[in-house]
Formats: sequence, structure tokens, C-alpha cells
Amino acid sequence: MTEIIRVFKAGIYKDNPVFRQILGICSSLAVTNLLTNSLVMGVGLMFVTAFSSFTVSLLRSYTPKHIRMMVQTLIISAYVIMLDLFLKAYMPDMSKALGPYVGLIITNCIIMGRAEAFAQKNKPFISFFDGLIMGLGYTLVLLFIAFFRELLGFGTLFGVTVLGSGWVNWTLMIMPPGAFFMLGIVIWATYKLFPHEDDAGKAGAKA
Amino acid sequence: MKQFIKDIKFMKQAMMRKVIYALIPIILSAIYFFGWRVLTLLAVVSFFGALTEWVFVRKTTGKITEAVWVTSILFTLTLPPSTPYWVAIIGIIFGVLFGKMVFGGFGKNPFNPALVGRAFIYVNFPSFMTVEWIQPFNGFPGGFAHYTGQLIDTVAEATPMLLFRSTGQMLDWNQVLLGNVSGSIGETSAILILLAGIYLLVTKTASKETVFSVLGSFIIMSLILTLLGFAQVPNPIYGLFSGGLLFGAIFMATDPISSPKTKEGRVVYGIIIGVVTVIIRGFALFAGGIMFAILIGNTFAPIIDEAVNALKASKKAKLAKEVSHG
Amino acid sequence: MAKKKKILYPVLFMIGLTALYTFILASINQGSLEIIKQQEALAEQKSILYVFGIDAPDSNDATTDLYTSKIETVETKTQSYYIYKTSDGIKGYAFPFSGKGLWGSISGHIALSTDFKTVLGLNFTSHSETPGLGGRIDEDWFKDQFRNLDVSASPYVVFRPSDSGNVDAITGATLTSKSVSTILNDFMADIDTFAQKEGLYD
Repeated sequence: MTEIIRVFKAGIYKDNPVFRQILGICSSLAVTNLLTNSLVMGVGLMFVTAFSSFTVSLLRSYTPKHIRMMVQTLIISAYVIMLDLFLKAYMPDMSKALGPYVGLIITNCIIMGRAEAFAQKNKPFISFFDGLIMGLGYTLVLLFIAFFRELLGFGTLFGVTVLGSGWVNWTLMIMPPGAFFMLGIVIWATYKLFPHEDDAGKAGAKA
Repeated sequence: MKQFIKDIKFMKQAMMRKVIYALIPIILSAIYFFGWRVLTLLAVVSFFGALTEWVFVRKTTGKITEAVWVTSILFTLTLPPSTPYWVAIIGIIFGVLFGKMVFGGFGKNPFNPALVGRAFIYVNFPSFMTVEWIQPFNGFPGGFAHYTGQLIDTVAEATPMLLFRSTGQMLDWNQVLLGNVSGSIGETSAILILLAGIYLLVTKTASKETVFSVLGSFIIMSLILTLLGFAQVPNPIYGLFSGGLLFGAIFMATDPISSPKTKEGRVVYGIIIGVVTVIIRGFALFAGGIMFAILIGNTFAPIIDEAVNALKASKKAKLAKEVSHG
Repeated sequence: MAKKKKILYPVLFMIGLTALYTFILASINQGSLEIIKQQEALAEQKSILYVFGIDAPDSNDATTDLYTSKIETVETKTQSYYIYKTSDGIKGYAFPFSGKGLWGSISGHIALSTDFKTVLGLNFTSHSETPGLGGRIDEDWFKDQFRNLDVSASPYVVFRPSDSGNVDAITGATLTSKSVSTILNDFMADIDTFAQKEGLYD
């Protein structure tokens, strides 16, 4: 149980993939102009991370160490293709809106990072949970950024108009630079909110 | 807020003072052309600019730099006269915050804060920044008797640069020179900007390398493209006096902090700005060429300095070697 | 001997795993292929119905039924087009078009009356313009301007406030607006010759 709580805390804030590990930045910049896009992207990533961590962990004792990266990539891509096919078949509009970013989940460092850092050393169930929570941490940050971008950029939330007709849209917030500023603010604020216990030792972001 | 008024202290900066003096005639002419609203806009912008800086420095030095006034004035002068107050406020706060304070405040900013603020609202609110312009006043007492001017039909009488972009039409020479045209608050009068520029060059406040290389490369690049037959590029002299090029070259590009420190570096920096301005004006999505060009130039400033210093060092080493051999 | 085994095992492991996943993915792909095709066809049908100004019903099956009852697709060597037939004859023709936008290509469908002098409707199926600026070509107010637009003389599409303007451009998206008018004007010029060759004129 304590293990579950520890994993949960790590994924949500202590070791959050986006604002703490600075991973998955590419997609968090690209799809956060609308809340709906962010939500689907986040749930998709949760699915892929959870299942690939689970599979990697399941196979960990049979996988030869020196080809483990190859195996991980294979597993991850398989789940991403499944997700892509699912979106194309059942949510065609969403598939069009997310464009190449679904396919690019394969190269999302969060999944590879979890497979390598966690699933490789832990049991399948907890790995699945870790993937799910890391995905959730990513989703929450995406939704937070998208909330401001959609609100300021379109005056809507999940497509529903919330700011009246007097509202002037902030065009920049819809464009990729808007995401840069928002992400910068998020990282800044979270560093103030959750100071790192051993910041001195582990300073510097990993790419 | 009370705390702000009580605590407010300024760092004295002689160089920034000179820039402010040079800007006064331009502000006065702007009031003449566009009415008193210019001054209230300036006051509002300056207040929020200083407030933003104060929020950051109140716990450290407690002193607001005079540079923030220069930033506020320059920022205001690049806005269209009809800019709503809230748009200007968002711009100056963003400019001071993300252009300067997040990098460590005065002296550490890689970009010109006034331009960062302007670029932000320029992209955010294109309709206020590029569509709505005010008809300038004429005769005596001009704008001194009015609060604000009349909004004009955009396409019939847009600013010289926008007019050229959409129709290829050019305005009268003396209109463009005197500044009797619609446009940004402080960018219309080429003569006053030139006079201010001379003052700044004589007092060595502005770097002559930057100013001349921006203008020179702009003229040469425009000339080449005009001669090659690109209709999107106006002839160099018209391009020079219309739009914000002169203003940008004299007041914005010369910002001592965001431009290179070496003389040779400034020449390269100026050339980048001049060339990029022509390209953006002629071929890009936005008309505000000089603004983006200077920001791009700012980006390269540190690496230009680095390259110049490295080159100098290697030359020196070579020389030293030759001397020791000889 | 031991060395050989070390090379053999990873290779076999990888082959086995790849085969397994290929099998899984292939079966999922097979299973969803039909649905994806249907979805794509449906999107196109909706677009064609939209440009002819026919309201598509909510249900997907009803949309397909309506489409097959009213629209006839003709394939030629150079391009395909769609004919809208009712009991009192042909109402109009729809064509796919595409061209260069600001950031990427813009494509869509356009429907024309039988005399090729009026636009019945216009729709964009894919584009990569800036959301909120050029991306607003997707919005109904922009597309609705083309309904029953008179295009009897060249230049066919001109933005206001130009003297002969017949359509409003998008504020702040000059280049996208320009691209759209260029694409449409080029298309209209081409389609004239195409229609004559095919004998579509009455």
C-alpha cells in the first residue's frame, strides 16, 4: 500500500514527468490549445504508458539486457498503433485534430523513461499503476495548460463559450508560442510550490 | 498599492536620461498629431511598467531602474494611437516581466523589453495593432485641442507600410517626412526621429555602428531586391522613411544591453536586423518587420560577441607567435 | 558453445516478440479497416452534402442512404466529380479542390450550379492554417458567404473592401485569405475548360 502511495505522489507532483522531469514537452506544447484534445491525448498516453510498463515488466526476466531498448520500443509502438487505429475508427475528428502527435507518442520520453526506470525493476502490477499515474500527472499538466490557452485563446472551455462576446481572443495563446509561455509559468510556479528535497544534488533537467 | 507609492525609489541612470530627452520632442509631436490620449496612454503604460518592476525588486534592491521609463515610452510610441488601455497594459506587463525581470532584471535581459511586449500584443490582438488607425490632426493647434482623433477607414488610408503591402501605393514624400500620416504614435515623423538620432549619436548614447549598419544593410538589401524586380519590396528610400524602421534602428536596436558589446559585433548585428527587416516586410505574414528583426538580432547578440572575441583572440595569438618567431 | 547460445537467444526472443505483436496488430488492423474506411467515406459524403446545401441527418446510415440516393460520383482520368440529381434533373456539380495555403495545403469541395455561374457551396476538408486566425476558414460564417455566390466573371472571388469584392476576408489572416482566393480563382479557370471538355454545359 505504501508503495502505491509513493508511486502516486511521485507521478502527480514529486516526480511529475512534465514539470519535474521535463519530459513529453513536444506534445504538451502541440496539443494543448484545446481542452478536449489534451484530455484525449492524456488518456491515450495513460493507456500506452500503463500497458507498455506492464508488458515490459512482465517480460523483464526473460528479456536479454542488451536488447531491452529494442524490446521496449517494439512494445511501445505496438500500443501506440493500437491507440491510433482506435482513434481513427471511433473518433475520426479527434484523430484529425491530434494529427501526427498520436504517432509521436512512440518517441515520448515519458513512456521510455518509465519502462527503463521503473518497469524494468518492478513487478507488473505496480508498473502498470506507475505508468497510469505518470500518464495522469502528464494529463493534469496538459489540462492545466490547455485550460488557460483555450480560455484566453477562444474564450471557451471544452468548446463551451464561457467568456462573453466582449471577450477578445488572445491569438498568441492558440499558437505554439503561447504554450511555451504557459509551460514556463507552470514550471516556475511548481518549483515554488513543491520545492525539491535534494535540489542541490539533482539540479538540471534531463532531456 | 500604498506600499508601492511609499517605497518607490529610482536608480539614476544618466544614459537613460539622455534617451528620454531625445524622446520628448517626439512625444510632443505625437500629441500634436493624435491628441492628448497619447499622454494618458503613456502615463498608464509607465505606471504599470514601473509597478511590474517594483513587484520584483521590492524584496531585493528596492530601486526601480530608470530604464523602465525608457521601455514604457518606447513601447507606447510604437503602439497605434487608438490602442485600448487594457491591451497596452497587458503588453507592458508582459514585456517587463518576460522581457526583463525573469532574466534577472535590468542589465541581464537578452531581449529589448519594449519589443517583447509589443510583439506579444501584436500577435495576440492583430485587429487593434494593425487594423485600427487614427487620422492625424493638421494646422494649429492640432491635437493639442483634442483628446483623440477620428478612426479611419483602414484600407483607404492605412499606414504607409500597410498601404504599400495591400495596394502597392506610395504616399507623398513630405507627408511621410513630417509624419502627417496615420501610423504608430511615435513612428510617423521621420525628421524628428532623425534629429533625435543625431543627438543620441553625438552624445554617444546610441552606438553608431548599430544605427549605420542597420540602415545601410536595409538600403542595400531593398535596392538589390527592387532591382531584381520583387514588387513586394518598396524602393529603399521610401522604405526607410515610412514605417518604424528609423525609430527601431535609432531607439530599439541600440539598446546597450540586448545588443552585442563589441564594435565589430554591432556591425554584424545591424546587418542581420537590416536584412531580416526587408525580408519580413516583403515576404512574411506580419508587416511589423523591424520589430521581429530586432528580436531576432537580439537572439544572436551573445553568440556574435563570442565569435568576435574568439576571432580577436586567435588573431592576437597568431600575432604573438609571429612576434616571438621574429 | 555458450557464446553461440547468447547470440541465438536474443535473436529468437526478438523474432518471437515481433511475430506476436505483428499478429496482434494485424488482426486489430483487419478488424478496424472497414470502420476506418466507412468513417473516411462518411466524412467525404457529409462534405459533399454540405456543399450542395443538403442537411445531413444525424444518423450515419441515414446520411449514407441520402447520399447514395441523391449523389452520383463520376470518375474521369484527370479528376472525379459528383452530380446532384433530383427528380427534375441535375441540380449541380461538386468538385474536389486543393492548393497551397499559408502553412500547408488546403483542400476541400466546391459545388457549382449547372451553368457554372454560381457557387452552391464550399467546404474545407483539410488545412493546417493557424488556429484562430487562418483556421477560421472552417467557420460557417466564412463558408456561408460562398453560398449562391455569383462567379460568372473572372476574377471570380475577390475580398472586400476591394471595389469588386464579393466576400469578406478574415481579419488578421491576410495571407490565408489570399491563398483561398488564389486557389478558388485558379480552380474556377481550370474547371471551365474541364466542363467544356466533359460536355457538362447544357
